[in-house]
Amino acid sequence: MTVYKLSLKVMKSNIGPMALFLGIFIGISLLAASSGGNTAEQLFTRSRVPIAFIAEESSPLVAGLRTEVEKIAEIQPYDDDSEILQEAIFYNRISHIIRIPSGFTRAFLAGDEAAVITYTGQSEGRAMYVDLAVENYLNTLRLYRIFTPDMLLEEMISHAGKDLEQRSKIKLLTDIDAEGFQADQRDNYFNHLIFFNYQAYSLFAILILGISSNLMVFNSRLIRMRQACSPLSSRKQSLQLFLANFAFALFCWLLMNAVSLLFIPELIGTSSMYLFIANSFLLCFWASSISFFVAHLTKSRNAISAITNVISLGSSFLAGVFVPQYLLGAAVLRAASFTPTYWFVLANTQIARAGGTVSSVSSLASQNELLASFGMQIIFGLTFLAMALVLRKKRALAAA
Amino acid sequence: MIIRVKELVKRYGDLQALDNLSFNVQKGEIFGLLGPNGSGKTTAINCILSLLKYDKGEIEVFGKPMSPDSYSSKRKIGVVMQEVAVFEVLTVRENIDYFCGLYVQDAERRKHLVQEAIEFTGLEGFENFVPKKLSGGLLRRLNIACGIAHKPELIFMDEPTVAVDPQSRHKILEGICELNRQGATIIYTSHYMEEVEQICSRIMILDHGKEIASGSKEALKAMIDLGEKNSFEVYDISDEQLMKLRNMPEVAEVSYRDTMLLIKSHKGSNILERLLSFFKQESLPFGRIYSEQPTLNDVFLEMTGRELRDKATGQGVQT
Repeated sequence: MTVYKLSLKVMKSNIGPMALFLGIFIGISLLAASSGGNTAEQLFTRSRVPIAFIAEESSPLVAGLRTEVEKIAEIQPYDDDSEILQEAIFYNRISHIIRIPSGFTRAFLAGDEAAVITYTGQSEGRAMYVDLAVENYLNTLRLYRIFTPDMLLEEMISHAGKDLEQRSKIKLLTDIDAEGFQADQRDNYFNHLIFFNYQAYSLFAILILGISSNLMVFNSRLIRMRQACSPLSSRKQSLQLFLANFAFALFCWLLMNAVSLLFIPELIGTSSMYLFIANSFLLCFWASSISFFVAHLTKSRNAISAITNVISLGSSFLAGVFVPQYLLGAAVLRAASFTPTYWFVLANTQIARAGGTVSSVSSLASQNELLASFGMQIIFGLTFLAMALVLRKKRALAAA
Repeated sequence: MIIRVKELVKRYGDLQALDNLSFNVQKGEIFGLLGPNGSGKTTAINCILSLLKYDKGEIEVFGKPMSPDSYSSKRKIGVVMQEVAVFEVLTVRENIDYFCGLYVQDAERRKHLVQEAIEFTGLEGFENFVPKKLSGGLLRRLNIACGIAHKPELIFMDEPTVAVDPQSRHKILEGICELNRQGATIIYTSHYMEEVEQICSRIMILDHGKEIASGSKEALKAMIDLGEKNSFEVYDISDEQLMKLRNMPEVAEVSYRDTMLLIKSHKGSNILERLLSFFKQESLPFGRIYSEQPTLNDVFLEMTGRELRDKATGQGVQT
């Protein structure tokens, strides 16, 4: 295992930069996983507008209006002192003043013009929202007054209050819903799926970088010539090199998954953990094979980072690592299916969709769908490994 | 017989790098391949080592046809390449240990072999240096140590002394002779005729991929008409005196340039005494005198009309 040992030694000499890259990529994955769970619904919080509510009379109508306004605004305890109110609105302590003039209730019930007097500060947008709520409330009452003239004011107020509580529910369609997840799976969905999907970029990138840098040493024409003169066959040399590089890949894979379990502890013990990790292991295998192949085509150190970005980022974008697969067009997905990244992401989605129960995961494992995704990744890995071995043998013969 | 090459042909497109080359190498020989740069020496070695595919011909090493999969033969071969081929990230000892490890699996035996190679090439004290910290001469010695550490029976040395200081060159050449004394058969290529003359027991002169001549250095020199070469430092000589020298029956060639008068004699003629008498008779004052036997360069010159090395630069002639 002379070549194997030397390859590990060469990797050891690159440990500094590799550790840095590994840290950065793990950080990116964790960042993406932690921020990925915030849906539009979670990000939106309703704020209450600070206002002053000055009533020059007291009546059930005014009380009802105040109750309605309180739903969207925070009524500040200000007395009817114009100087204090103006100062409060000037210093933005309140955004709006609603004044109910004396005789308002009587005028409203009589069907006369009954206007609420409002003063707006600098936050006109927020004030408009309050005005709209006032108008909405009064218009609803007006409807009751016109169409049910015999109804008592208290009854009108009660009905209007109930009517206005009715809200149209708007639900944003997310990839969770689009891909058929249950509501109780949402929280875990983002953390798990995004973290593991991101490995298709982070682990792939670090493997191309690490393996290419390592093989650059062995790919020197003179070294290849010298090794070709030795009694160690080209096949044995290549396999030893691949094993050493796969050992490096396993180390990175173990580290990434250990970190994932540390930062996503809820995954530990669930049945889906095993399938996520199995899928991640397949990623480790085919990413090593592709990196091993690519490393034989890399001529200079300067080209390594460019190749890393093109391959890892390109396949990630194409296969739905950053943009969910359901948002990608059919043609894009068809093209992406020629990359192992597509099958990796698909398998992760299938695992996440099954949830974490033992029965769901074991039934999923027996499904042809997931097995096909796993199988495709194995085929890609073996194909690239075979291509790399053939290329290496040809280059060994062409060394002179 | 260790190596048998028969009618070897190698073409690079229209260029015929090896043209029906045939030769044998016997056990215990130091066989020199001499020729200017581009004459086909390295191509021939690469073909023998199966690093290059060839168009025609047969190659046998240790009595077996040589192919990329001839691992039993490769185990007994050591190669010292023209360019230094070592790992920059490894120290001197680690490099030797790695290349020796490709041949010898036993760690304990390898340890001894590595130490022997270090001592043999005079790299003691530099064991823990990385290659970029070594001088050109030490790098060459490391290159040799990596090629011979496993004690091969057959060693290919492709211009191992290129760009090496005289001290390292002397050390390297001494080492090669010592390896030969220890039983190794050596194929040595160079365009430095002095080196080949100094160490090789048999020599083949190549030009344009073809054998020009082969044999021991004495046999090669016997193939040409040139006898000894006498050079005199003369500050003034007339055309008439030059003519008299040219008319001497033993003299093959006379030239006078930059105060140096060169007189070449025909084979078998020893005319130094006769020339000294001539100078006395003509009252021709002279300074230093050099007298030398023909070199392999003279052999090459007489056979090809060109010199092995470009005199202006001391480098090989590009062909």
